[in-house]
Amino acid sequence: MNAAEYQEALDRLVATGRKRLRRFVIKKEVQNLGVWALYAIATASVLILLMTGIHAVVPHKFVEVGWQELLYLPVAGLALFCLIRLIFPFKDQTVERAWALALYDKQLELKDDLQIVDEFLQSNDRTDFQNAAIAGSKHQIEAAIDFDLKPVSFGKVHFRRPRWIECMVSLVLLMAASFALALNSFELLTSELTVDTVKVADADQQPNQSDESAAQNENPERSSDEMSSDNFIALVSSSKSLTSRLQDPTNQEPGAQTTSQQPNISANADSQSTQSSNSQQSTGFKSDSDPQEENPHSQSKKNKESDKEQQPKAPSPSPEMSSNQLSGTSKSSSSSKVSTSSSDSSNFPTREDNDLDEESMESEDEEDEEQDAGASSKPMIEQRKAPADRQLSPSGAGPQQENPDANGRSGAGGLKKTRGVAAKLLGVPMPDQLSGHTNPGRMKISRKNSEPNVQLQDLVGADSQGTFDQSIGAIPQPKINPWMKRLIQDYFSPPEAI
Amino acid sequence: MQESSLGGSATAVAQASDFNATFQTIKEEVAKYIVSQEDVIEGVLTALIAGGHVLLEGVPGIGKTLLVRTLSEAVSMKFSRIQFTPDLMPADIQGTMILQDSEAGHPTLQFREGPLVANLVLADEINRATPKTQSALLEAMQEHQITVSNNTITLPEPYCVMATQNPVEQEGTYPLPEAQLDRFLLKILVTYPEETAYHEIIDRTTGESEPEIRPVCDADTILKMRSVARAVAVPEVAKNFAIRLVMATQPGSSYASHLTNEYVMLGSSPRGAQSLILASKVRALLDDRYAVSTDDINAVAKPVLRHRIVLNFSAQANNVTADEVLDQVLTKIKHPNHVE
Repeated sequence: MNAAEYQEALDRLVATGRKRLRRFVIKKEVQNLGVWALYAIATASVLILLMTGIHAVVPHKFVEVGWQELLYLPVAGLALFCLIRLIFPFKDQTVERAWALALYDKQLELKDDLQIVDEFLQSNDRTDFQNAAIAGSKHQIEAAIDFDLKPVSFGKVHFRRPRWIECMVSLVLLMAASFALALNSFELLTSELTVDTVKVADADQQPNQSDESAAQNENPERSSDEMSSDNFIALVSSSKSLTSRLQDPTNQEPGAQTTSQQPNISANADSQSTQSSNSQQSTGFKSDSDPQEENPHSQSKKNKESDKEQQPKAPSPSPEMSSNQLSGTSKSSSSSKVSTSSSDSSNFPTREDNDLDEESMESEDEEDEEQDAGASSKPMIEQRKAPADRQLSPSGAGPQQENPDANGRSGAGGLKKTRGVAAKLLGVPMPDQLSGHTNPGRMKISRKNSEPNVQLQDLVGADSQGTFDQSIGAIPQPKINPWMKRLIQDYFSPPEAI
Repeated sequence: MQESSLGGSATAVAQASDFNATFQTIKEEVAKYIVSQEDVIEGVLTALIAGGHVLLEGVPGIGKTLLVRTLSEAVSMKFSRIQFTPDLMPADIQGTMILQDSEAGHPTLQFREGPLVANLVLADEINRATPKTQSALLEAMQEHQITVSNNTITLPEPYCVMATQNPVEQEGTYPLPEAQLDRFLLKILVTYPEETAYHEIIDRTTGESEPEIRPVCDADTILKMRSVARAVAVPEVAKNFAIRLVMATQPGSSYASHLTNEYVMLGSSPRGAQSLILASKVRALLDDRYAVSTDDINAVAKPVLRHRIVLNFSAQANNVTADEVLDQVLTKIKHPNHVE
């Protein structure tokens, strides 16, 4: 065989090996996709959970998509990812010749013979040993051609420990998302039912509205009495049937409150505004806020507003207000609007949000007007607060006992009182003061000049010590032979090659 | 254009055949005295032919010194033995300038060679000498020359230092510095013989006559074998595998295993990759092949790399050895064209 024949035989082996490996690579990619699907499932579940949470908090007009649409995003993302993974790896990672030949080498236990020969055949200037390696691989190539490649063992899905953890996390997230979706779908179903029934009630009222308004002009008290009595009976019956369907306590609360409020509204107009404001707090999205967290200033404003409204309407009968409140057509009274919005809050969160925005803007305007009017007669009376506790005793003071009426300008709070030495001395009231040291004073440096004292001493002459007249010893003077001199010269002379 | 003929392959085949024959002859001659240490004999011969040095480590009494002495007799080269002791000085092994009478009758300073100037040097119990004396071997092992005073002496070729050391007895010994360890091509662990080998050892060494070792080759033959071994082809797949193995011993590298990162303070140098290829070439020839394969590199990886790995304190505290690190490295580093 010459080199061309070797090359041809190797090409055939490479073609066969590539077929086998391509299947293997596809399987491997599918396996990798399975692993990546875990991440996708987890991500999709988290997304669904987040969106359902947002759906409950944010008004519906900001999150227009339903839970079905929520599923499309992760599923579409997963599909796109799978497509990319399936297309691009195979474009970039074609099965190399060496991989295919390595498959033969491994299955035939050839010690890289085919790979080595293939590499050496590509070389232009081969050495003797490279040629010998090519020539020596004849039997191996023949054996490989006759050999039927075994299928590459795919093996089990090799999940390491972290993968199992990821799998479990994905599963838990998926279950949580499914539960949230189921809960959300149930809420949607019940709310749709409520919307339908209330719409029916509104539709019943609409045709009669023009006649009623005309009648109201002639005899307002009479018409309002008739209308309120008819609608009241219809709505109470429909609301009762609705409340029997509602099972979720959070969703039941606004509806139940509305139905329970109807007799009270007709019976007592004085408590109407209070009830409406309460119902507003308990409905929909405002229900999350704690009533205690509400600004007391605005609360007092609302109370005053309701008092003002009660005064001119005190002689008028209560059914008028109840009729306006139930029909939702009248906009003369803010309390009636609030009541209407509260009754619809569970069914139309978007409408309620709009109503709330308008209402808040109107109430702010009214508050400003009131402040402007009251400021001339009793300036700052609205903002007057109880004075802060100015007692400096640290006893009983602490962050949890902070004076709620203190506005930070009236005196020391509990935190400040607990600072310093006073906090450590039980029952000893001490004012809060800074500790310091007395001034150590200045340092003064003084200099004093003095004259040196002369000290006289007798001089001693060198003659009195005498001379050294002893022997100093023998000084050796070695006799250096000529060869010694030459040796030393050789030693210090430049080196010679040895 | 690719060459279609495969000319020159017959020459290579003949050279490889001669190589194998000579190698087997030396091995059989040494095996007359050394029983059941074929791997050790092969390793020592591999180092000699590959142009490297070998460090034999084993407990006393298992024939390390005898092996080297027998080999020196079989290859008929200048042999010297240095018994390393704590008071040995560099001048004792390198040589020194002495005063001698010249032919003219005048004494002159002349260089007297130390035992380091030889073809085969047996450095017995090398770890008993001080680092100062051990360092005298650095230049000789790497550059095959020694420098004394202002004189540089080139050592004869082939030059091979065969050192022995005892891993058990540590008192009064000095561990070899890393620079010197790196200069050894192979570190071969000499273990106890098997039970069947004891009978042969007793029969051969306690009888009336001892086996006679005759020289079967000389220095020129060894040099010729060395050139043949250097001519063995190295494909890219083998090179890649050797490089990955060496890098896998270096902590922090992309191929480093868990044990490497945790217990290795210093990995193998590029000299380790050179040694891997050189030793693999000899092994490929011994296996009647003309190119190095990854199997050859895998086989010589441990003797080539085990002394080039410096373990940290944590490894010593946990009794992790270099061989354990290498086992994991060899398991982790797959064949470069591995597809599974």
